[in-house]
Amino acid sequence: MTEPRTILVDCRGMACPGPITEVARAYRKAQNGDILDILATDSAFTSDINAWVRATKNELIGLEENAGVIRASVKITAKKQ
Amino acid sequence: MRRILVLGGGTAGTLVANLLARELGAEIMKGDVEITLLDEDGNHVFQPNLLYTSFKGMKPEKIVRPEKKLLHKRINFSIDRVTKINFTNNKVITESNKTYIYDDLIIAVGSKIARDEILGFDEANLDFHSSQENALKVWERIQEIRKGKVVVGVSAFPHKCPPAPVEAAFLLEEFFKKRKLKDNVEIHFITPISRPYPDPTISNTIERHFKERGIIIHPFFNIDRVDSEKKIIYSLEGTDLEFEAMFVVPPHKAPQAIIDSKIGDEDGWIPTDKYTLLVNGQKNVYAIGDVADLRTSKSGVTAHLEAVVVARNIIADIRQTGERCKFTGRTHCPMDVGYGKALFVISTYDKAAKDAKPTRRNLLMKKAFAQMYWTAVGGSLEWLFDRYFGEDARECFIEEPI
Repeated sequence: MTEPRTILVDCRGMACPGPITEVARAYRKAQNGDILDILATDSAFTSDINAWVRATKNELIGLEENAGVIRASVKITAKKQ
Repeated sequence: MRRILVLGGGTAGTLVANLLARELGAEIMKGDVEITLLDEDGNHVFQPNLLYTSFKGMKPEKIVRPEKKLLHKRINFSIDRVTKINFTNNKVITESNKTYIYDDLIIAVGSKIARDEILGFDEANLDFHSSQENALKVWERIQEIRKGKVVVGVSAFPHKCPPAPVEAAFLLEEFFKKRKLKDNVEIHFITPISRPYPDPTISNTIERHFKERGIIIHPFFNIDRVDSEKKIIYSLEGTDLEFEAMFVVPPHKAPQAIIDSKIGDEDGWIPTDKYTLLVNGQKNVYAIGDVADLRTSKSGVTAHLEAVVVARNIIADIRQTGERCKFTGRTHCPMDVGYGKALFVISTYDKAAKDAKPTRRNLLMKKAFAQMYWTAVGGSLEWLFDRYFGEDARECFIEEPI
């Protein structure tokens, strides 16, 4: 088991569904304890990430919007490893 | 002498080379321009029809032609696998230890199936996506199925031909219904995201049709591993799925030469300017087709439209006409929903797909495109595609001198 990492998933400029598919891609490579630090500009991303976190049972530890950029921090806790 | 080197003989590579050779005949004859195309195996597969080999029994030999026969005679062609690309020295090295020096490089090497990415996946899964041989195995396997769960869907993003997993579900449902096995065979569709198709509007349409036809969706299903003996797919989310047969689109990555050359991201997708299709930081290297990290479909039509943009920009540069073309991200993905109907997923970088109704006309259009493919990839039908796609596929303008 390696040390927990913060993985930047920069989806700025991507239209829906780019951000959530990038999150799914990053999730494949992440481990429990890692944090996905996701940046997106598509307005649909807020509802997408909420649905994703609910369904996958990971932990949304931060969600904020600043100057049109949505930043979501997700702690990976639910991967069956 | 300006040396244009094209890597890859798929849709994008073949078309861009042919467009350049057709237009630059005089320059090539004078010895001012040279076009070379390298392909790893010399066979050109019309990949959209792998779906029809898999689920309709189309003969595999109908969907492949020798690459050499598709190329204009002014193109130098070699069958040789690329092993290393060096932007600093403008060099490409191949498996046969040859070195090619270029002035313009067009990387169109496509994508590969990442077979070892998921434990047990390759042993359990038959994929209809990667070769005629595998597609034929799918066709043979579905003849044997009498009952149980058939699992289709997406293992990871990105993958080529976004509609293909959904089409597989629709065509399987039609297959089993026509054989009166629908009561005994369940079709399950898995996807890592919340919906069956990335675009939400198209996804709504698909969900409606899936519901009507009894296709069961498993959203947020990331495959962790597959036990081929027990026939169980285990997900990262802890939900497991038993299966009788599994036809899931495998994870994709870029060819090994791209990864080894360290010119892509961790999966090898090459960072590319979405408008000019120039590789980021390069002035004479383009990436088109699946290998580019563009936020648009990895599909044949998109590869085609990208090839036209690159060909026009190189021709304009050679002739100093000042024309510049930008790619719009246009997609035009046909989706066969079975029972003789299809819809088209049409979008650009700036315009999301609109709701599309499956019609018989759309399926005829899909078939007509397939019939035209071998001529189209030669570059002689651009007058027709220009009329069809109009300005939606590219924005071209004359650059003002500084």
